[in-house]
Amino acid sequence: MQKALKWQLNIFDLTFPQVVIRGRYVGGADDLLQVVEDDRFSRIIQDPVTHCRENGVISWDEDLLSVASRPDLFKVPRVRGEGVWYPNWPYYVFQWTVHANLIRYISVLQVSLSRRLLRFSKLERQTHAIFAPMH
Amino acid sequence: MGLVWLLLETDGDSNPENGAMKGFQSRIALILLIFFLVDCIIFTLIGPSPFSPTGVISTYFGWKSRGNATSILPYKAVFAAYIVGTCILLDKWNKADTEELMKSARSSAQKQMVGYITNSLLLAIFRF
Repeated sequence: MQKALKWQLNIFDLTFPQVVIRGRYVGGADDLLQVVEDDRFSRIIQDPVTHCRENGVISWDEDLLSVASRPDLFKVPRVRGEGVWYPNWPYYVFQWTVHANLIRYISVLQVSLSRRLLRFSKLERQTHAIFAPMH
Repeated sequence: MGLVWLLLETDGDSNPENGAMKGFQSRIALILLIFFLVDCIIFTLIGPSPFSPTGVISTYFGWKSRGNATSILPYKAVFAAYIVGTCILLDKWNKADTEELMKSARSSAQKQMVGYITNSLLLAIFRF
């Protein structure tokens, strides 16, 4: 079921809810709130009904498509909901939230870096050159 | 991208007898360690993007599968521990002027790196 939904929405990872308005995929809860904040909701609900493409894939909202395909380095993700206390500060001060999978990717890069450093330190056991004092 | 290449492709198995290469590798190790430290500091004090190099790379290439928004605080705590550990290591490394201290610094560097690898692997797989 989840696989089918992923395929139909053409998304990599599935979180809930996923919102489809008048046959057009709008995104998750955050995206819907963004739509409301940007005053695009009234336009979307007045749009004509969009049918699935011939292969059964649901069309994306154009604004969502442009946001999803263009990495935004300056966007601090927002966690919204009842009891949420994270402040919505700009990107150049202490950030309180992160996109979950970015932690995975950063960790993979760190594993690679640490592996390299471990190799250097092991090599030094033979050569007495690596991790030696720099003076 | 050169830095990414350095992270992923640079091989430390060059000729150990070559004196110039020894100094080069030592400097590369120091540069990588400082890069790691600076990256962790930026991540902890600000956040992954747009200032932290690994954060920017991850955001740029992982944007399509970035997942949902979550609190960064537990990860900042982990990265702060990395900062403390790396600072201690750098201090040991800097102060190691005898063979004994050098051995000790090398041994703790290895243990620390194994710890980082294990912890980061767990973060990468399970995100905790």
